[in-house]
Amino acid sequence: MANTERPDLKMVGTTSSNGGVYKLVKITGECEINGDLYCGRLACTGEMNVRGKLNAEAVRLTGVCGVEASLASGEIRGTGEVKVKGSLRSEKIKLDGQLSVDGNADIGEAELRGGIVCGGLLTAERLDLSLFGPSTVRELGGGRLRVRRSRISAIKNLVSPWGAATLTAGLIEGDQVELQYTEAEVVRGGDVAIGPGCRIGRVEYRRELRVASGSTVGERVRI
Amino acid sequence: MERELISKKDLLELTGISYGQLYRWKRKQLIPEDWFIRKSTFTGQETFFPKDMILARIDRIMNMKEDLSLDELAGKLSPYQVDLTLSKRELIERNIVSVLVVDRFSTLAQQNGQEAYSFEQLLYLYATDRLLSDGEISLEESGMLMETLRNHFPRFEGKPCELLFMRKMGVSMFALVAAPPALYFDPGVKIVIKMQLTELAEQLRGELN
Repeated sequence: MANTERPDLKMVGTTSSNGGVYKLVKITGECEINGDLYCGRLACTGEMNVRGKLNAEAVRLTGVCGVEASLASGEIRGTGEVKVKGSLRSEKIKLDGQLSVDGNADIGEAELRGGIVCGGLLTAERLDLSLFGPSTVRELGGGRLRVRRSRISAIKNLVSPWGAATLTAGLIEGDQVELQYTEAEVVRGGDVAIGPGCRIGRVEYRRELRVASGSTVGERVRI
Repeated sequence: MERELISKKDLLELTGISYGQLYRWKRKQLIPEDWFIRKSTFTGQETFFPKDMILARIDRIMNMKEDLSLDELAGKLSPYQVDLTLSKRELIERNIVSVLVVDRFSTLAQQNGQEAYSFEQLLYLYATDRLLSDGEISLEESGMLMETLRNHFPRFEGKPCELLFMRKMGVSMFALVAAPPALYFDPGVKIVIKMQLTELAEQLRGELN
């Protein structure tokens, strides 16, 4: 590129852009981006939709961020909803709200309060999920996985029209796995702790297995 | 060609690595995504890996990671961008590529030893040499192959691709396609060679080290 200086992009109101390469992108309001967006920091208050790839060093979100291809970011923080049609890659995610990924998600550290829907394999070195609503992950893998139900959601479940705050997964694999209110076909790991409200088809563990009373585990295998 | 596969469970047991490490390396792109092969087994879906490739890769990661950060490692392991060059003399001494191929397809500066070969150039020579010595292609066709690789291989920008060599009624042609390809021909076409360049690069790197 001849021009190496990357400009900033600031937009307020209902706007649209064709994407491009920027330093700082700041969106307030509603923005449609018709192309790939590469940027340093991205701050969005409101709703944005990228019809392409989104690559950013850091994303700060209050609102909704939709990406129709893949999303790669060093860090994602904020409140609201992140919807990715392709795959997601991020070193760190701290989100209050909903994370939806149609493809695979590779995350370093994830701290989520809300729900996750992932159609592929979701991996995280550390995952801390506080369930507020129904979550579905086809396959979950990682180092330390911890799934809990938030205290408020116990009350919310009584009135919520969307269903209970549970996690449904096909396969969960991790070195340390701690689950609550989870339904899974297979759980495999080093240390496995099955908390209340779980229904697990088969648990394979290497070192230790704890199962809370009231949770059902079909098969227990030590490997 | 059916490759030998290893399941994720067996892999972790064999190498002694943890899930966390495996997924960290996947995230850092030290292990390519298309090595994760999902297959159904009697216990449900399982993930498998191409056995020799993953074992060699894990071995390399474990040996190198002590003195490199993971991000530096990623650069070293990505199949094509090996920051490694070789002079003509070394190339022939180490018997990586035959003299015939080296002489035929080097620039003048490389011939004189003033200029070294980049990894990509080595890969082209290596591929051509391999096919020539296997007797799959003629010397004339090797020129065509070099041209195809030089002109089109950089366009893949490191994405996995396959080299196809076809013949029909005595006419030969080369094609580079993004892997995994889905290509079907009329019955008159014979696919002589189907070669994964990523795999070849891996082998070449093995010889260079």
